[in-house]
Amino acid sequence: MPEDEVEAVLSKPKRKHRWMIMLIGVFLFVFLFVFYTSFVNPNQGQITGNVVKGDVLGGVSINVNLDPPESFKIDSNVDKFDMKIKGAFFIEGKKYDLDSSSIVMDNFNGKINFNDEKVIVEGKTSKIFIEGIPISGKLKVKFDNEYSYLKLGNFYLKSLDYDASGIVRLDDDKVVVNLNEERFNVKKFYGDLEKRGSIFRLNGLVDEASAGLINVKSDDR
Amino acid sequence: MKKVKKKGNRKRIRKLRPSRKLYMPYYSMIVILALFLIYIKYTGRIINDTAFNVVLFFAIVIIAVTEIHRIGESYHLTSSSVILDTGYFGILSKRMEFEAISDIQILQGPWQRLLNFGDVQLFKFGPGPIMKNINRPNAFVNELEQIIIKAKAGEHEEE
Repeated sequence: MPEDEVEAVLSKPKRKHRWMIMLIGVFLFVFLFVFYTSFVNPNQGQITGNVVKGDVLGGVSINVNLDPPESFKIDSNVDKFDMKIKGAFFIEGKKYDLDSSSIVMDNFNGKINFNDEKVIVEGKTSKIFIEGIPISGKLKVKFDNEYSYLKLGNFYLKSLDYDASGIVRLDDDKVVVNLNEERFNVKKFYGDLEKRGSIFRLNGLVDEASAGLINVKSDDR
Repeated sequence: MKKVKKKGNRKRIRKLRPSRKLYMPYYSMIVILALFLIYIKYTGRIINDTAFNVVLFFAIVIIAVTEIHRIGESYHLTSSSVILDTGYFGILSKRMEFEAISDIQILQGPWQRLLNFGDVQLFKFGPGPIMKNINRPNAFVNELEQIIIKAKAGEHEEE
């Protein structure tokens, strides 16, 4: 060994600290991912498929005019919720006793359940218009009323499946199906809904749709 | 009355594992994420399905890994010795007879003092094995001392 050569003893790296740093990195990634999908780009957040509000990343356009399902239930965000109801309702626990009211809600979040006659709504909204008169703030709303029409603007529906009659238009009218008590199924729908009497309309984008024997998937396009 | 298991002519008095307080930083990450999700839900925002599943997966992995890490070490007090087992499939078992123990030392960092857990080192006229992350180490050392005194006096009887 030459005289000027120095023997060095290398200590082992602190593996525990390395693991801790990696774990903190993973934690921050998860935290920022949740933050991004809830605050920065919430519309991408809800839809895990190919459909994104405003633009299409492979989603299929859908426009249906069918007879309504026996009952319909969602728990979702609705950008604009418009309805005309009969009877009393509650906002922030306060009863509003009106014969007939036109209600519009912005940024509604909660449950909506309706059948042919009644609508049950329970959730929160940031702004509500009652016969055009606005009330702002984080408002808890509760309705259990008869209604004459409902409009849901920009909401997410995980799936809908029932035997229906009517017209289903898919992929910018490239596929038009006339159903007669045949199976109608959509998965991961994002868009608008209108229910007025025996009219039930959906207009938006969908990840997968089946109408009778026709099945269209966004992945297949 | 405690049940005493016999193993040869040794009676197992107590079995210990490292305290879960050791994993508080990891658990706090799960709590922070859970509170964040509750906040998002409370403010009426959307929770991404994927983000929710990622949080759930992260929480499950953290809990699973910490539990697996914890079962990698166990300490047994018998009527005549302390046994320190380390490992999962292959086990390294260190046994220290009470007669051989000359001193016991408690080692606690600031974090361990705050949460009242710490390492207990056994001495055999020189540094011996360390029982890591024992919950309430002072109480444990007192208990251990009593057992050692009884064992050395030959007074330890079956309960």
